[in-house]
Amino acid sequence: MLVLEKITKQFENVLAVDSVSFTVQPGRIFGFLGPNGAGKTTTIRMIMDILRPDSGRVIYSGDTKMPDARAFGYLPEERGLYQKIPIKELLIYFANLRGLRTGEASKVIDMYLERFDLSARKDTKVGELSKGNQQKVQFINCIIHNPDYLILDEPFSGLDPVNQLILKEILDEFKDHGKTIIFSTHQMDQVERMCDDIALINKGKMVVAGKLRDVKETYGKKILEVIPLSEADLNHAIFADMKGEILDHNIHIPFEHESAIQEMIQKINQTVSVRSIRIAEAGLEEIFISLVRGAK
Amino acid sequence: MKKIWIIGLHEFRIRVRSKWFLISTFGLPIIIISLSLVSGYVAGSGIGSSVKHYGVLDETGIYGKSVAADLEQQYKDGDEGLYAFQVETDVSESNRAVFDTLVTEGSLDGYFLIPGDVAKTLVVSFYSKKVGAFRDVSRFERVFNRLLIQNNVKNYNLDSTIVKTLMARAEVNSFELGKTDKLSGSQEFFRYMAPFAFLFLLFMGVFMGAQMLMRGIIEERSNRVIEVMLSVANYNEVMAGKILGMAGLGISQSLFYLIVLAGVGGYYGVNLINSMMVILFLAYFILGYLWWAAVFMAIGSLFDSEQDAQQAVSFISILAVVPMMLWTLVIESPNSTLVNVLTYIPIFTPYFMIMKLAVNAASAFQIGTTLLIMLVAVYYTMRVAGKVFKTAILLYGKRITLPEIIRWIRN
Repeated sequence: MLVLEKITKQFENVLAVDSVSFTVQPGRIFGFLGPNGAGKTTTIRMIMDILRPDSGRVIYSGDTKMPDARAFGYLPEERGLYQKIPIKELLIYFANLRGLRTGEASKVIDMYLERFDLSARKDTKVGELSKGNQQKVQFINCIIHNPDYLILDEPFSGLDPVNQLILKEILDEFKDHGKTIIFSTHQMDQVERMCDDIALINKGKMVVAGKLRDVKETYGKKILEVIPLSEADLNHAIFADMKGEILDHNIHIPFEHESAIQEMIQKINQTVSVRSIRIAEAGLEEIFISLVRGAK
Repeated sequence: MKKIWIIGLHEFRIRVRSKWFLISTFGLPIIIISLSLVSGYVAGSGIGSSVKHYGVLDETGIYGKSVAADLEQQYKDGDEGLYAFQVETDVSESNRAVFDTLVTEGSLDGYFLIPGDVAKTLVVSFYSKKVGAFRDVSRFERVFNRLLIQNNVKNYNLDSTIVKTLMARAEVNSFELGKTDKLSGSQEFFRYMAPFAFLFLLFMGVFMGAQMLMRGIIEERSNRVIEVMLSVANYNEVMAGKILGMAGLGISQSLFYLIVLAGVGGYYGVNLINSMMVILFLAYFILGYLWWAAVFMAIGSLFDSEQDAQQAVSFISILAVVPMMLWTLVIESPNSTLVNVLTYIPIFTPYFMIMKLAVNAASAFQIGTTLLIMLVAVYYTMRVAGKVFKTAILLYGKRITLPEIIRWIRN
């Protein structure tokens, strides 16, 4: 378990993280969300002890002393690898730094390279790999030592759907083994599919934290989702009057009470031709946007 | 400590197997030795020389032929003479014009004009298309003056044996202490050049190591490897590991060069290196390297591109060239005030001390105090560099100003 208690960090005149607190439970995936410049990276760097908080503390399984590097698998947002070193040699180097012996590391590395379909390229220099393959190597580097804490900043970026699936499977395995997983991303669909708990931070301040389901229930308003038949219908003034928002070829119309729905549907049907009308739940992306805008 | 060792070993390994390191390590002595062998061979074989043709217009009719014969006989390349003279006694304007033409056409490299009253005026003139025949003119001068004195002795009816005794010149032979064989010319030259060789080795080792360290840090910063590194080791371990790896590289390279230098010295019969010299060389190397490594590492942590960093280090690198500029002064006056003052400035200390050691001009007191000064300087420079490194290394894409750096150091 990982607990952040009122951690604060100031750089010169910028208050990057302002008294942020949250708890990450083992065996659950924790989505750490926030717009660019919200203070996510600074918070993660404080968890990793790369930066020291000005105040507050980070508690690792009940202890304020940070465990050894072997306990952590960290995939930073600003990440890279030595370009001129063969993949396997590079992975062994980092494994050695985390305290694994070469022989022991070699077996695990071979297993993961096989799993990510990189076995044939283990002697290829990192710089000769595609961006997606480099991303896979970076992820393998995070997990070869079977860490207790996995901290992943945008782990899916640059991966094709097949490799995204492999990565998701591995994360689920870690979750099943009771590991503590923090997962930071802008891809809300990934968060909805994978995370059990989330925290949203904006301008260094905590906006919301809790179970994903609870957050959606509390902040997710229901909307009327209309799919008009034609482009002309989509842009009809009636939707603007109803404060509808165009998302792709759909229109999302907010409503206060379910009693108003019947009247709204009737009005739409009389004015424009529609393919479908249904009551839908707002997605995490909309919650994210409304909370961030609301925080402003 | 284990992580420092792993990082150091990794840094050492990836660089030692790069082809540029191998080329620079083995290539440099091979090139220097090959060049000296080739120039020695060229000098000895006469490949590079050609017969010089000079004219002599000798109004006296006494000296010209004798000087020419002497020089033709004295300076030979194998059986071939180095000089060929065309001697005439007609110094009229018309004959001078003929010689001028010969020089212009290139048949002669120049000509000497000995006036009839040379014994009084003591002036001989030399004419050529371009100046540069210093060595030939000085050889002519030497032989001419000898013959002039001999002729004067004869004119004054003096006893030539007595004059010869009076004019005899002594030569100074050089000996290495404790040895009975005098030093040959090449040995003396080698002894003279040895301090420069040590200086050059130290300079190369320290600077190449520090430059490589800086390049490595910039590369890790721009590749974004540094944050991954900082998640497996702390700042001090990353810094110390990198410095250790490069130090290992520099020490291996310097030891290799020292062995080559000792080998070349041995070939010329000059014993340049003893165990104390090696120990002190390594001590000054390590301290000098650590000082520069700290400076270069701090600068490297401030920049995303090597080009920008190189501009920043260019100013401070100029200072490092000062010992190179003053090496002859150190050899000739190793205990002059200027040299002694510069020896105690940490940025110069290792370079001046290594030269002083090479000419046996460093006292035990000086060795002790300079080592202490360097230790203190390295300690404080490392602390300052550490503060800059820790603060700047993760500040991507931000232009860092000097007042900011000063503020970090103060904090």
